[in-house]
Amino acid sequence: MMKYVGLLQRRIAWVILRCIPPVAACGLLIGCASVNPEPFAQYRSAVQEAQSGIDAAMSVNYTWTRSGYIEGFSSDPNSRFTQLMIQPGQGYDWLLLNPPIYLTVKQARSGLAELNQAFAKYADLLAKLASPDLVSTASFDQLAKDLNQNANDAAKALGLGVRPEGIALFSTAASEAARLYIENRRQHHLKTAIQKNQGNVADYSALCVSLLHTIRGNVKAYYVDRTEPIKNAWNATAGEKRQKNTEAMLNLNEQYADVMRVLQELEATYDALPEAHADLAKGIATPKLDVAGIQKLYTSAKRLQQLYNELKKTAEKETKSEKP
Amino acid sequence: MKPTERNLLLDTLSVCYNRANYLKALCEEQGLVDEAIRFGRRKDRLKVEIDGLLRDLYLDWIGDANALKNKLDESNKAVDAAVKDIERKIETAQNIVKALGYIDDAIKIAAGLVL
Repeated sequence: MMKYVGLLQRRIAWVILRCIPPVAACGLLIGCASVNPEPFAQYRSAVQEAQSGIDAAMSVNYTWTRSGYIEGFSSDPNSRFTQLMIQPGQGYDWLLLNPPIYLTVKQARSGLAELNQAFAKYADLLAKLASPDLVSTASFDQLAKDLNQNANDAAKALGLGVRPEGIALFSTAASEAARLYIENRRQHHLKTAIQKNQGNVADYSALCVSLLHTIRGNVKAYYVDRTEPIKNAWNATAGEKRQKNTEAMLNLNEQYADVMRVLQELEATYDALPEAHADLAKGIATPKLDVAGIQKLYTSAKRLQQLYNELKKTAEKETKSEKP
Repeated sequence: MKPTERNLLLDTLSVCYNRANYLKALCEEQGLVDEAIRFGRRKDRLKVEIDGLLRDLYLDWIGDANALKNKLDESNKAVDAAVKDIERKIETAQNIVKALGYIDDAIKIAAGLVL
């Protein structure tokens, strides 16, 4: 019987060690600290703020370009109604000869939403991979507890007279080794993901900055078109009646200034994305390292949040003042 | 022309468009009708150039964004697989503990029968 028990004990030890082969093979994991999830969470949060900011700027850009087109088309004596008519094609196809520019802006906004979604997913996955919930100490403590319980029950049933502390030490060591092994795998995956995507992040940043410059030029040009009807209405009235148009012009100016501030801050945020991304890898190697790139990005994103909220408010104010 | 150069051109054209508009309004205010018409014509020409440039910039951008989106989607699959790898490994560790529990149950039964 004792021979059978010894055989089973060896079998149990073998199964546990099979679970953690690299630990048994090398001592590299000793001192392998958990990933600090904070920089990853901050990175994801900054990406979300930047995306909300660029969408808010794009929204104003779309509204201005569309209104500018309506105003320009309506006041042009050469405009013909047929120019506004869609020509349906086969199936879902349709065509508008000389499509207005705001439709291209709309198309770019959809493209931006899709691109942002893909990048947000990447930032989410990184945060998930770095999250303490994924490799939680609590779940490994539970493993050690279960192992203890199993081993104690077996030892008791067999009347082996093994002290519980001896079994507990073995179980804790096994579950800690498993945790370290998984933690090591997690850090390897994170480093690989960051390294492989550094180029994509740089491209994403450059592409967004390029779009910001296009939006800036677009808003500058369409500001002129938006002033035209206000100017005409202002010239056509006098005295107190001018107040409404004066206010409309001030609101437009306020909105223009807000858009420019948002675009400027957005450029700083998007410029900071690649460096902050590279800093995430440095943070894995040294969890307590003060990652300056991420702090810079996070601070910029927080400023941005305040700015685009102001922009939204002035845009709403402008819409209200436009209503008769 | 590189995209950044085109954006610089767009910026310059937009500034010129604003100035042409301002001068047109100024001439109108001062009753300089002919000058206002001349600035108005320049303004219209600039607008055509700006809209053409904007269209090109946006369409090129949409193409580039789509290509990058596809690259990111591919890359996200790999990161997603890494998350699943970790989840699987934790599950394996938990299953092994469960399996050990079954072995212990078998030991207890065997011990009950033999001892």
